[in-house]
Amino acid sequence: MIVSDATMRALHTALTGLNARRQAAEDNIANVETAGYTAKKVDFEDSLRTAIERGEPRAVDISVTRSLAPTRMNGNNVAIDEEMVGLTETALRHQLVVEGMNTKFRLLRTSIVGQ
Amino acid sequence: MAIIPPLGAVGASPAVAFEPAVRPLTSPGSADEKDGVDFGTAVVNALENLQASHATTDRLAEAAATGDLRAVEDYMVMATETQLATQLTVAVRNRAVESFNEIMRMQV
Repeated sequence: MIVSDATMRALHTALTGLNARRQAAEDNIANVETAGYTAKKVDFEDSLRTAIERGEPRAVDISVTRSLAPTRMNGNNVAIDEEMVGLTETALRHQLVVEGMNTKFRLLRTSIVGQ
Repeated sequence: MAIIPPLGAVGASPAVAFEPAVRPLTSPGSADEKDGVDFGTAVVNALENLQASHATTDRLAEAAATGDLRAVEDYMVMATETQLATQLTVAVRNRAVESFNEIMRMQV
């Protein structure tokens, strides 16, 4: 888009990644008792960092991998306490990135409207 | 920001680098004599500072996106400062345009 610069695209990618992480954490919590279920993990930070350096912050692959942590007797390895902490951290980071996006839009609006 | 032209172009534009034909009455000495910074330089400096402030805020925003931002308060303070500096710049511009229009309407 004509109004979005590299920083805004990076923030957009971060929102997409954080959303995927939240969804993965929700899946993990929902399946905490499911036999044979292994926890999902989402990673996008390293990819986003290199993408920003390359100047294409939208070209990021958000990877979803399965946890290799030791499983319990039923083949499940979801650690509910870790998932809860991770969910809260993801929510707080989401809030920060949304605030950053709003700041960028506000600056742009100030410049366009002229007051 | 991509849509704002580089400031080198602003400094080089004839509107800013324009030399007034009428010398100020308070300096009857040589024409080259200047006390303090002239208006064009002051404007360009202010815009360059604003641009630098935008660049710093963008860097912090990218750090927030990648999760490398450790001091959230730095980003919030910088973002608010940039917002206020931009509003100040816009207000000064509006006042300048207003003054120009008023002068244009003057009866001579």
